[in-house]
Amino acid sequence: MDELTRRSFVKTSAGAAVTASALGAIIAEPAAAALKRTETTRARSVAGRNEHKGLVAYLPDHRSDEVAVMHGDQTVIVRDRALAARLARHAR
Amino acid sequence: MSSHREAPGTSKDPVADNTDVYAFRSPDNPDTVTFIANYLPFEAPFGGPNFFEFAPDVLYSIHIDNDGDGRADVTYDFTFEVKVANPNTFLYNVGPISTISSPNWNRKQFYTVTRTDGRGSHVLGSDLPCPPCNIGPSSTADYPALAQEAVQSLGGRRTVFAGQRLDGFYVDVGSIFDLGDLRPFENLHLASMIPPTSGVNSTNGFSVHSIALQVPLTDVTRRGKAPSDPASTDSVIGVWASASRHKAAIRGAGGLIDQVGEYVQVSRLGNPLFNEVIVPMGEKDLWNSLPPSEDRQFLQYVQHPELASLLNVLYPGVFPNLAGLSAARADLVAILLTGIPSGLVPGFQNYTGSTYADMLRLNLAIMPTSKPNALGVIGGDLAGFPNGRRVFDDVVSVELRAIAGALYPLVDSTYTPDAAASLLTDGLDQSSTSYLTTFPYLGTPQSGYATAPLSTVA
Repeated sequence: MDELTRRSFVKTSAGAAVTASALGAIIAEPAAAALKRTETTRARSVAGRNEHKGLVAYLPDHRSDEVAVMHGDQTVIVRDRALAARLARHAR
Repeated sequence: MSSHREAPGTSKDPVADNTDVYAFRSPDNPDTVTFIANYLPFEAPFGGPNFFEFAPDVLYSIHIDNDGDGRADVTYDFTFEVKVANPNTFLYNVGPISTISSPNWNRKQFYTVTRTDGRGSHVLGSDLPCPPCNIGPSSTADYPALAQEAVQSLGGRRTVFAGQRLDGFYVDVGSIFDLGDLRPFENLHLASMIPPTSGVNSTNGFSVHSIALQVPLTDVTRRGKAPSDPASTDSVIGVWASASRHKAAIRGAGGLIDQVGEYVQVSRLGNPLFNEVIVPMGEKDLWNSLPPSEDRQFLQYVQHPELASLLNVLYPGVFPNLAGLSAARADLVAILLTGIPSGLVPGFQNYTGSTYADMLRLNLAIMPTSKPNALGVIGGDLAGFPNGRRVFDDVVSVELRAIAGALYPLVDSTYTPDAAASLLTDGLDQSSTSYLTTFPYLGTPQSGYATAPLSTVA
């Protein structure tokens, strides 16, 4: 899999805008500016593979601040302690 | 098996299980190279009503490394979709399928081919049709013609086929996994009391789903140069195939599954039998998830292969020189992980550098031969395995002999191989199955109607 930095991904992919808006829809707070997206990974550009509608937020470790947000054929790693804690609370 | 059900993970996910990879300079079109990646092991031809097909949720890929770092410089991706004409019948076909566009074929499959290199990704073809599976004379009466319809031009002298084929890999897996009881050597085996017999082809009659791609040599070489010098490292490519799935799968109501996230590799294959018999069980799924560039961590299993030790135990007294060979197996490292450097085999090299990476290495400057030897390089045929792999190459015998030390003198001229090392075989050869002489080279799959269930051999 190619690994792209957030910056290079934004430069090279129109799909980034979709991800950003989708994230905004589910993450009302903290403010988007406070989010620290550390990594975006996706497959090589594969035709006809971005039609997925669902979005998955995954906490690999409840004690971590890392949330993997998966949409289409990409995954955005978000470091947001408050979001992670809020999601983890629902698992108790 | 070459890589059929070779790991715990892939054994539970057959549509994403690489079974064989082939790479060879096309004998009937030598300015091109043919890559074949097979998936879906042990397809019983009568396996309906939902006959076998590529998975729409799997990313199938063929990778080429042309600078020796074990990472892909060119990748061809294949994604599939299914179009059901009438969901209100249980039938795969509602009448004879005389062409691949026949309305009688209810469950058609189409695919897209995307090529990615350092300059970006480009769709080479979309809505490309697969053939149906070979059902029987009432449904698919002229199967070779149906399959030929599915041979598609991508332009640029590229040709592609994706669909069911007869499995070209021949192996007596029934004997090999019965404690290595090779039938031609049963009289020498620790636990066997019966005389030697010929081998039994375990894949006989089974099909696979095959992706075959033929492209100009310059499509995959470093800097797009035409290979002309067999001694040049620029003439050598490394090849492997993979299958990948989305990171997450969410099962919803009505049997729907939403799959999202980046693609995660779940299967790969370069050299036949590498993950099967070199990598230990506890690391097979890990190996499948990695690119070849990460294979250094498996070096120890190549240097000291478990199978070599087993030969000494299972065939007492037959391999005394192998038993005394404690040095790291530089011969196997060359064959499987770096390529064979110049100076070991006259007129031949397929060395890609010091990066340990399991890839099928092909020296594209070596012309195909009109008189091939299925034992490849050890049979004096430099156009065969382990210089790439042709569909008929006897990779089981070659690798058995290599592991038994038959090629160790290449790296240590003082070593004398055991007499049995150069004779090892599972008792099969290319006559165990059938092939085509032209693209897509693998043979016509048996029809379900014409296939009898498995029988028992003595």
